[in-house]
Amino acid sequence: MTGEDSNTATTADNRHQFWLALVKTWPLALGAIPFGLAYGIIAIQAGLTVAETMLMSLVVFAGASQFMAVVMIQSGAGIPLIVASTFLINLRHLVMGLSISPYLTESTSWWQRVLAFGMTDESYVTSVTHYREQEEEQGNPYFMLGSGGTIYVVWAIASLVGALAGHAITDPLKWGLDFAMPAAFLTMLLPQIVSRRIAAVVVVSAVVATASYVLIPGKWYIILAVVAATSTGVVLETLAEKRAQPC
Amino acid sequence: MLRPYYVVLILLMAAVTYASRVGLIGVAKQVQIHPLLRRSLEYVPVSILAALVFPAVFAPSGHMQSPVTNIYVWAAVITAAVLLGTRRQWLAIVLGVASLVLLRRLVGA
Repeated sequence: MTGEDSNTATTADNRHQFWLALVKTWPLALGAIPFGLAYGIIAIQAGLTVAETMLMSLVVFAGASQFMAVVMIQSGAGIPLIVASTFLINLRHLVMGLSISPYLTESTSWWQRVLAFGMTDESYVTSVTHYREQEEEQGNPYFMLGSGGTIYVVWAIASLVGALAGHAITDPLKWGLDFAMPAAFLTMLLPQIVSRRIAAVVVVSAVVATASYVLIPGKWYIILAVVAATSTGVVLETLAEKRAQPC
Repeated sequence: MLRPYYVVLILLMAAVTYASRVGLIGVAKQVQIHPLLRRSLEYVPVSILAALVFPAVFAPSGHMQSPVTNIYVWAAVITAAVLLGTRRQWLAIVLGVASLVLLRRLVGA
């Protein structure tokens, strides 16, 4: 086999992974549409121009932070408070980056920097789930590129439509479309509950997340739930190993 | 139209957001991750998914309400049932969301 052949095979595989990512990400992208529309509408109502609304979607590209920012702009908050709040809301990305990093050790730093930009809740869960299903040590970066790219394009278009519609339409989240995102995440979660241990992890995460969501402002509930639930998983795994060992 | 004040705000937001995303994405390449931490990372995706789903379903308005009268819980049950019955992700999402919109009209909430 010549080098050229193997290059062609790799290129074909990369292309395949990119398109596969589009197919696997679109249900979550669908769920993001109402939120993009709502963001655009609220941003215009908060007094941002269409260009500013779009600039935020294109360079920040983080739904929860953008919502928070436009609400804070409307209530007259200053730059330092909005930027600090954005940082706190986004701390969960550190956990997501850490979790996906073992699949990207052979990717160049350049790739890692590009993929990091497109890492949202949606593209992270799609990519990490795909990499685990592949049961290979390394993840193909083209998959995560396709996944992040899909969400990016959909988010930009939905924001633009929302911004242009502005005052003309009501917030689609109020019709009940706010359920689109949890429904999409639910359909990703259920097939992954394949053992009692995973079920226990999900229950702990669900209880801790819901309790802290109600009690603590911000996005801390995700980090708290992840710490509690992953610890549960490791403890149960260790106990099962101890039991399996002959005494 | 872009006003300088908002451009500065947006670029600073972009900088801190990107910092959080790029901060640890390369960590496994640079340092050996402790086996115990590596093991716990296996549970991060399902934990994050559960944390994104359950609060949004059980406390959609930010506070707990009875699951019996909570239409989000019923819509989630319908979503799960369609997924388990048909194995079609998009159908489960579409019917789940449609059921919530319908339930909201019926209940008038």
